[in-house]
Amino acid sequence: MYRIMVADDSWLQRKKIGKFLQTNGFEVIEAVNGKDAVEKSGVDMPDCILLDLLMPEMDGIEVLRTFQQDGTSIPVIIFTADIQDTSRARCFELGATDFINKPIDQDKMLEAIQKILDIKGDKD
Amino acid sequence: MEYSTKKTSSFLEGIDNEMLAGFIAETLERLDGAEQLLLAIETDPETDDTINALFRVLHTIKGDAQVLAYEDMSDLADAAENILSLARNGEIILSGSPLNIIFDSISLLRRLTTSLKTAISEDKNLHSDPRVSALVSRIGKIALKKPRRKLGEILVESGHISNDVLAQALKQQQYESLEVETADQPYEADMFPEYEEGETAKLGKMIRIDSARLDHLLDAIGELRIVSSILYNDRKTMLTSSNETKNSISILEKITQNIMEVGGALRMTPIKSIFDKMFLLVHGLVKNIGKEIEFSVVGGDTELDRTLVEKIGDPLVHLLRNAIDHGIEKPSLRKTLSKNRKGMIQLKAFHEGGNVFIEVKDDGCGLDRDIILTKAIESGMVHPGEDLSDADIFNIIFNPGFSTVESVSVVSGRGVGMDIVKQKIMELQGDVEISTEKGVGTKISIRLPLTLAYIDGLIVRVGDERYIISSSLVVEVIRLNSDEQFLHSEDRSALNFRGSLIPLLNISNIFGIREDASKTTEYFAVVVECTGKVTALRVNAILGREQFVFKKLARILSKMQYISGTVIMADGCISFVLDIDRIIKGN
Repeated sequence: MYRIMVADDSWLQRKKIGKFLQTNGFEVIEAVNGKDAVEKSGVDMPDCILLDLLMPEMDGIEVLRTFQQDGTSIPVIIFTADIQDTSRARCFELGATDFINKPIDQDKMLEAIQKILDIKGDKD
Repeated sequence: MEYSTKKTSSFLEGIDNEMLAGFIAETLERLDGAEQLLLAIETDPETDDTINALFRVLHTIKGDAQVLAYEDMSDLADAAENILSLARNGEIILSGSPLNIIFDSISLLRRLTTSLKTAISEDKNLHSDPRVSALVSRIGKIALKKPRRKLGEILVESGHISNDVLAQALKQQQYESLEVETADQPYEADMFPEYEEGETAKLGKMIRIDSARLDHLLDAIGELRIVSSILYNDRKTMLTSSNETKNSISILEKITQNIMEVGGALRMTPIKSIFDKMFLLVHGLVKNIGKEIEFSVVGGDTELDRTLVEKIGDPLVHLLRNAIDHGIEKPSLRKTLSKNRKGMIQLKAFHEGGNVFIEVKDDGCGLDRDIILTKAIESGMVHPGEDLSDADIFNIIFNPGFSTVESVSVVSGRGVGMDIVKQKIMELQGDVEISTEKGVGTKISIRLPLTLAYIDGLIVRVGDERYIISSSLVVEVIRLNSDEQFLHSEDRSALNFRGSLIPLLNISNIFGIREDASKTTEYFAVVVECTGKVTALRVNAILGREQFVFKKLARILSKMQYISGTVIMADGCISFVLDIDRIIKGN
């Protein structure tokens, strides 16, 4: 079973997305802010991270930067509202794999995750 | 519940009531935080960190509202976010009307949240709120106001640089500002200095529990405790049981006591949430009346029973209003009195001797003893020539009769509604006292029990009946072994207590209990203090002191005088808890 991390400071977003992913057969772990995401990803080794940009403690950009510095290769999908092209470019530069706009279109999200997992290769 | 707004996007599917409830709880917390941030911005409108933090709050609320397709809320949050975005870019300064409009937005967002809550709990439709579009268009006007012209545009216009060069420079600037923005983590560090690093981590590990479930759990613990103490008390007389069983019963009793303590702690919550609201209230009140007030709060992390935290809000609002309206003088008057221009109001909470104390202290005009006394005599509450201490006189303001006397508040400083404050505090098994000095200030001190679920009680025997007296009210227990200590007149007795005479009330008379003369060879006096009055209660024996699960009297019994509730004793019998305040007053 694939393990997806949902990193968002909004409880509602975590629950909503988490529940949807669970019903689609994923294991879900939650992170309540960027710092939490960095800490937990080292321990729980998710196959993919859904990362919000605007969070307290450590924002999405800084999470990406930390991953890059640490050489963490977990694929990251940024999901955020009102994304400006400049920060989009910045995120890709820092190694983000994909982008989804909020409010999230569930099918698109599933598609993006699937694409990443296909690249990673099959896993039981 | 349905949204009457037309849009019920596909996303609303899969939102259950638990999610809505969680959203509501979290959003209300967020809005509390936003108000704190706003207050900080008001003192220093150009702190980027604070503006960023506030932006993030509104952004999150917008995102959540979009998930719920709650358009009113997402539109409003979006509009308010725009103002903050302008402020972040330095295009407007957050003071005056832009700041006020954010204040308004936050309070309307709160109302939207509570109406969503009502809609869910009453299973009603959620109607679109007309105030939202009005506020959004007000915000739009502010955002439209010509901002400062940007340097780049001026340069392009004058032909010094080309559009491409500008675009490139802007891009570079954006990256750099992103770097800066992420390099420091302003939010927790600067805004909430009292939160240690560990504290924030701890917050992340909190879980929400439905309060009804918690109450069920505590009820069950209470029942467990009763059964356990019955077993414990019977263990010695159990003929059949082995020593192991008896040991186990002792251990069971210890564990149960432990569970009871832990259970009680579950209900405890810091008073901070209410204190924070008071900040906002004081801020709002002072704004309009031309007084200068320095409001400070001490002991926000003092914990007490959740129910108490919820219910103490109204009385505190009342006391603070009084202090602001009537206590603190106008700056000009204060100056002539050679007081600091700024009035001081302090809200303080602390633990002492198994109680929680909350004080509202001001350095305003204080109460006028003579005016209160005159009014009290006029209204027939006090007989002229009656021997009253200052404390007695000031405590008159808590009397229901006094508050109705017209214009008292204007003359004496306060008094209006003090009886209601007192009544509310008494309902919470607490007590309120006042100390004041004319021209110097007033301190109102509220005493509350730590928890309402349990009572630490002294078990006394009167005749063949057992009664419970709340231990927190007991000052001392005295054995009455000779007639020297107490004086009788026809219907009154008094006790010589540490050199002063205090009333000695006979509990058996109050409840009409017949004492068996052959059994009652000795008496005890339980000295209690309540509302600043010290009184002794005469009982036949002191049987012990224990923690009980306290149950308020059922409504059909609520007319019973002098009884505040019941407890179940270790032998399974029910005993009444004495309502000391009413006993003192009624006798």
